[in-house]
Amino acid sequence: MQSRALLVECSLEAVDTAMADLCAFAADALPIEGMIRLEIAVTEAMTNIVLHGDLPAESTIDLLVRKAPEQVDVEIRDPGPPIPPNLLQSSPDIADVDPLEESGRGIPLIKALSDALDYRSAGRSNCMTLRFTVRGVE
Amino acid sequence: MIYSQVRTNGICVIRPEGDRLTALGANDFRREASQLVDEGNNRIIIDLSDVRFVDSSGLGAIVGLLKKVGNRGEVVVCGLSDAVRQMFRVTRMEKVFQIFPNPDAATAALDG
Repeated sequence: MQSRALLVECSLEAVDTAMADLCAFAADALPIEGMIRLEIAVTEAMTNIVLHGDLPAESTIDLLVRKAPEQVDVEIRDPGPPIPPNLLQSSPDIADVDPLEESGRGIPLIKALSDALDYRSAGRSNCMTLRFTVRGVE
Repeated sequence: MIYSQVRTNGICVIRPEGDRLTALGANDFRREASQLVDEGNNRIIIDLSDVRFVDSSGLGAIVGLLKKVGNRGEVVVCGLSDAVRQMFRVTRMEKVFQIFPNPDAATAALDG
C-alpha cells in the first residue's frame, strides 16, 4: 500500500489545490467512477472544515491518502471542535434532500459517495476516514 | 467570474470561469448571475463545457439562479462532464434541469 501525506492550509484555495494533488496520486487505484465519488466526497469534507470547522488561526488540515489496487483511504485530521454528536447519523439521505435546496448536501454526499466512513474525535483532534472501493454497475 | 453572451434571440449563455465550480467561486457565480437576471435576462443557458467538477456549493449557486428566474423564464444546462453529470444524477438535478449536449442544442430547444 502506498501513501501520501498533505498539509493543507485552512482556505478554500488550498482545498482546490490539495484535491488536484490527491486525485493525481490516487488516480491509478480506482476507475473513473470511483475517482469522481472520491473527489466529490473529500472536497465536501474539506470544505466543511474550512467553512464550518471553527479552526484556530494558522492551523492546518492533515490529509493522509493510502492507496492499494481498487481501494483508496483518505484520512482527514483537523484541530477544531468536533462535529456535533449525531450530525453524521442524523443527516438525511441525499435522495431525500429537496432538489431546490441551495445548501445542506455536504454530509449527505459524503455518506452516499464513500464506501465506508469513520469519524473519531479526541481532545482537539478530529479524524474522518473515508474509504473508496470499486462499486458494481448500478 | 462568469462570461456571458446574449444571443440575438435574447437567450443568455453564461460560462463559469475555470474548470471547477466549488465553494471558492460559488458566491461570485451567484452574484454575477443574479445581476444578469436583474438586467432582464430570463432565458439562460449555463454552459458547463469547461467545468470539470462541481461541488455542492457550486450546485447550490446553480439552483439559486433557477429559483431567482422562477416562472418568469427558463434556466437550462449544457456540456456536462462525467463528474458533473454524476453530481447531477446523485443529487437528482437531472429531474430539475433540462440538460443539453452544447449551447446550440440548448438554444434550439429554448427557441422551439
